[in-house]
Amino acid sequence: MIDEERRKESIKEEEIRIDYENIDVADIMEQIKRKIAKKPKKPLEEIQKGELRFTPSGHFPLEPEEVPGVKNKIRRVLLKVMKPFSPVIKLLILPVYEEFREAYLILDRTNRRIDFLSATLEQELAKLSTRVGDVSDDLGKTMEYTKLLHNLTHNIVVELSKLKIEEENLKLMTRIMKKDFEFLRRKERSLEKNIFR
Amino acid sequence: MRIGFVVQRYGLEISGGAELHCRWIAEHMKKYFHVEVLTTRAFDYITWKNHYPKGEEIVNGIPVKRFSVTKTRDPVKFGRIQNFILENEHSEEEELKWLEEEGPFSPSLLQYINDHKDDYDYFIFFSYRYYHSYWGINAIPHKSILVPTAEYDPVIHLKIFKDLFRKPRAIIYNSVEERKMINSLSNNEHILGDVVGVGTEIPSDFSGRKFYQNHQIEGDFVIYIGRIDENKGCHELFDFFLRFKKETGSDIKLILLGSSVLKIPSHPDISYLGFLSNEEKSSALDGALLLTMPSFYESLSMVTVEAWAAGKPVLANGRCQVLKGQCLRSNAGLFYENYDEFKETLKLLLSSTELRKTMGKNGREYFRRNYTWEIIENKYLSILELLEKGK
Repeated sequence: MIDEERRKESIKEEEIRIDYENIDVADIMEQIKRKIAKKPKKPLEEIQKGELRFTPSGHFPLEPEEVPGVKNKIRRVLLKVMKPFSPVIKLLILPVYEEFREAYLILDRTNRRIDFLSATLEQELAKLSTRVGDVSDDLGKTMEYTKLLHNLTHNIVVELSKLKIEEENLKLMTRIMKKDFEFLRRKERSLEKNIFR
Repeated sequence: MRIGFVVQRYGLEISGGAELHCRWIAEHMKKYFHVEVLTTRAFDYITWKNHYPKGEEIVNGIPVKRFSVTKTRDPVKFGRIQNFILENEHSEEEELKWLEEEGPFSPSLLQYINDHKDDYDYFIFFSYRYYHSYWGINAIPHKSILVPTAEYDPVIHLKIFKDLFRKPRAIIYNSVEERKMINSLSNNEHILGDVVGVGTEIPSDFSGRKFYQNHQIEGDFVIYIGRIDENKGCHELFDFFLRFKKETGSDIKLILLGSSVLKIPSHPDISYLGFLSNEEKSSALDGALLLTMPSFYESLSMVTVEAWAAGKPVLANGRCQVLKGQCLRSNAGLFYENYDEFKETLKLLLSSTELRKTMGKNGREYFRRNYTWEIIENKYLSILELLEKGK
């Protein structure tokens, strides 16, 4: 029964493969993103309509403020003069306004993403530089160690050479002493002969 | 050991956020220590207007000392100051002025902490961004523990907070992402800290079927529980949900629970049931196919944890790093970053009973591993033990 249900589901979701024994959300999301990427792209207006306008700005809503002074008076006079034409002006400005708003929202979202990414990047860079520092310390130590090892090897070679020469000298001395002994033994025998004669 | 919990508001009527978090932790810690709550008389978090009577009262067996707020918050003035500091170069004095406007401005609370610092072993401050936490921690850093409940919102970048996160003896984070964010902002890795969060209480008597009957609901539904607010992503949720229904012809319904500060679209498949009791909330979760959590800013999302405890999968807003991270770690929820992803993830969750069931199981397991009260209490006790050893 469960197998039948699973089979039906796998037909329904043939594009998203799920291992029900071991669900991996990262993998499912990756598949969903791939599936969406394969679909034809929507025009920008629809994307804006759909999501960008809801991204919270983090700003506190403010009431419109009155601007005091001469500028405000001129502004009011101009607004009065232009009032009859306002529908036409609005109509003319609307596409520009929409485009501007769209660009502003995209920029706002991008900025937030950049802020987050740069914070993460900074953190990763700090970690990396600590790691580089550690590695360079280790490298310095290794270099010193190698130098010591090199000196040690050199000294061992010198000492071994000295020992070899010493050994040769000792061998030579042994041979001389052997000959001396031989000579003394012969001398001893001839002397013995002469005494006992 | 005597511990003071310092929080901006406190009361049985406050049903969410850092305040409920604080109440639950205090109520669980009273088993081990002498616990007191130091708070303001405010109930309204917009104006901080005094509401509760001054003095001491007992709430669920815990002594609560309430101090007056001497300056209420003017939202328009506060908004103007906040927008200024977020958009312009500014000095530290201006940040402190913003903090004063942020409130709750209760000098008597700070005076009490300062005068009675020797009577307490530790003070646990909830929410980094309020006046009481900033000045409280600055007054007694050696006895402070901070539960920041920080979200990725712009004010966290203020310079005053960068220094604040380096001052307390310990920091108790709500999520891995919160810890990562605070560490990267203030380089405070040397401060003792742990990711703890908060447990949840599931009422013993709840039933999804009863919820269907009581509220005369027909057909399957997804649920949203929490404040219905633009910053919680509800506006986007309504739009995505209605588009989803239009494009797919699905007969799924959306049930909303919680207080509303946003106009809810009038649609036969969107029902707003207002604020319900804990039993009814659990019954609603039990009856729902899944919980949707569209919030942009969360430091933990207690409702998401409750949904996992109830064995329900979650569909979360992936632009909130905490929710995304929780879904990935638990393997108990999907997330979306735009409408297309919302459509595909919701379609997938609605179409597969097996997926919902397995994700619900994963959620329950994730809750059992990380958010049972036993685990939460032990984490708090270990931190206090480490602090005692380091004295």
